[in-house]
Amino acid sequence: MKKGILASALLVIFAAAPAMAGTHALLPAQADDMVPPSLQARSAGTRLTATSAAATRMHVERRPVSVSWPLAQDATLQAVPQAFSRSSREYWRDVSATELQQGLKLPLTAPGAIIRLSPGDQAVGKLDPASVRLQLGRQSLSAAAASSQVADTAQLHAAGMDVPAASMVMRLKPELGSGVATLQVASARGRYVVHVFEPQSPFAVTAQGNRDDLLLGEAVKVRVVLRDADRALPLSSVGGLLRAPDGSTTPLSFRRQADGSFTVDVRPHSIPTTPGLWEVHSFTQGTDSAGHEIRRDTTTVFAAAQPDARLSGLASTAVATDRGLDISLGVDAVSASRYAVSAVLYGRGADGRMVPAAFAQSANWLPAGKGQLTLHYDPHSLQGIGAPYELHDLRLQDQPAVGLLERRAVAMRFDTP
Amino acid sequence: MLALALSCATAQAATTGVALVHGTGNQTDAYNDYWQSDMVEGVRNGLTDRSNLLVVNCDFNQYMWDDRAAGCLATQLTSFIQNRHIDRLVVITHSNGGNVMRWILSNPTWDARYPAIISRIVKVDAIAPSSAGTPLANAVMAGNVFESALGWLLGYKTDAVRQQQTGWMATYNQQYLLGTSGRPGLPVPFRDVVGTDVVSGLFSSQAYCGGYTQSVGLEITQNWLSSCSDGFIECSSASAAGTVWFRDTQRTGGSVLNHNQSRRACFGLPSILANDIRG
Repeated sequence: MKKGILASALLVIFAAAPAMAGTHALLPAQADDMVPPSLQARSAGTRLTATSAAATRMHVERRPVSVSWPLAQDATLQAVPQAFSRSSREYWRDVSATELQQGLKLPLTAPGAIIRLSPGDQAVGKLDPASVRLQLGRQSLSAAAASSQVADTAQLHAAGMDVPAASMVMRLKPELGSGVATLQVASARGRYVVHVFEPQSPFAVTAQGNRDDLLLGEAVKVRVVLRDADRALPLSSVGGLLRAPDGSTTPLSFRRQADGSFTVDVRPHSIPTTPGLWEVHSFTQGTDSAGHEIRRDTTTVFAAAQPDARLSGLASTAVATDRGLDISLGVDAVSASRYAVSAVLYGRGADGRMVPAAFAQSANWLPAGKGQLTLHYDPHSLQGIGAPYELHDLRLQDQPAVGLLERRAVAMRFDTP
Repeated sequence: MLALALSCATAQAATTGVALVHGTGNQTDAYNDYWQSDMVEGVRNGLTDRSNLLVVNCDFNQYMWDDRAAGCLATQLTSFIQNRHIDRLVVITHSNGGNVMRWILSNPTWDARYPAIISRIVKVDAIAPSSAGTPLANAVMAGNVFESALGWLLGYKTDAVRQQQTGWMATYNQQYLLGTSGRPGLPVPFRDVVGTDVVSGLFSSQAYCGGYTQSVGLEITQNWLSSCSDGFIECSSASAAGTVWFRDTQRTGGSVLNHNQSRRACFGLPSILANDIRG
């Protein structure tokens, strides 16, 4: 792939002199495409300028850049993003020193649980494992006696696990079994986070959104499900919060569904200037068939962008002077920013099937109003394919906002440039 | 039209350079603090001109796109390429350094310097890249959000750890990064070195290379991970982007490379990398 990369940092767009040109309308958006229904300019407080981006150490390029490179024609590409899902077998408790001194009840559903204790105030210093006791059933043991492994902050940091200072992690001996454990720390001071992870437990909670990206004004539906291996169990309660990229949080109200799962519709009200993803945190409780408590917390994420630009729907194709292919796409913007388009060019391969041929990306600073970005596919990219051509996975991004504004799985079909 | 078609310079005729790109952390002396001399000098043996080696020092506590991360990396690579007249660059990354490098490869229009860098790169040897994140980041960040919501431990985690949560990397892999399953390929080969296990037995010589303290910690953290991991990165994450070059035991005579050992001179790794540079 390296051999065919075409790169021109400065003058690709303006120097291109198409020999022939054709105009095209983009194909109608499909159900899984993301297309802004309307545009929303950034307010003065949220507009991403070179100055504000610099405050967050964001590079804002002003020069046009366009590149392309060939792709393996036997590659299987997926133009529709898949929403992320992760099973959780862990939960967290925020507790006071008093609670720990008196004994904190921790429901354990399987042997071999891992328990982390992290003090809120690092000044309290390293916990002495000898002052930590665990009662499970009729056994009352020191942390050392109850654990098959104990690690301190230094050991965990050395291993790359970025726990807070003065943390302690212990893995309980499997022979202790499961049930409600009582964790007692006589020397506790201040507040602590107690993190319980049960890698051997059959009980897992999953939170999954119905999409992993959205535009301001749209919502993502998150569904939270508790499973015992492959069997769904009803949840007793679910609470949660939405964390924005700037760290601000909003409480969420989950609704119980007939099947025992819980759902929530999450709709960001504004997009902060801080780039990053949105997190939906779910704190759940349920019971097993014997009535024993199950606690699980889980997180899912999505991206959200302010739709300050969209593709106009018009495009033109032309044979470039290097005998490559130029595809110019109209862009309507209501905020000045650096916008980028990218797409995969497909064509008919030697065996008659439509195959991916090349990836191209082009970006430039555009003022508010009507603009244009041109994808340039170099001649190497066109080798081995012929008409008809298709433009797949067409995306429009606001680069300083790290925001995906529009994506279309199949955007264009054309026979001749 | 000014479009520069770049061809691969041959290994014989070209000036070859190597850049070592560290993982998470704000490095000011990665030579000593991150890689250590035995590793760096072992890799340098693969160069005809031993001066053509760059040890990158950047702030990879930031998001990959931050100017202190990808921007810093671009600055140092550009200077290295220009000052040493490098036209055949082998980039060796470790851990999250692979994500920062992949940001540059995936977003070549983000910065006008990126295309010139990419045009010189012949391959990226990505050692233990956290391409799909790590459950260890989930574990510490989820707790942090819980804690942050209460306002008493706000912001003690870095953006780099936040970014390496599995959900974040899954989303960024679909939105902004290339080279994972179903996504367009990268413009240059991105070759994964995958660590598959951790050995920490007191009487095992394998446990001591790279530091026994680290190995004990890795044995603990592996509890959060699948059965195939290097103690920090699951094999599925390390092999999620690009192609697998090798799994540790295939080239080390049967020894596994835990996450610390894969940045140190353990089990012949520097020689493996040096030989690859010559090729």
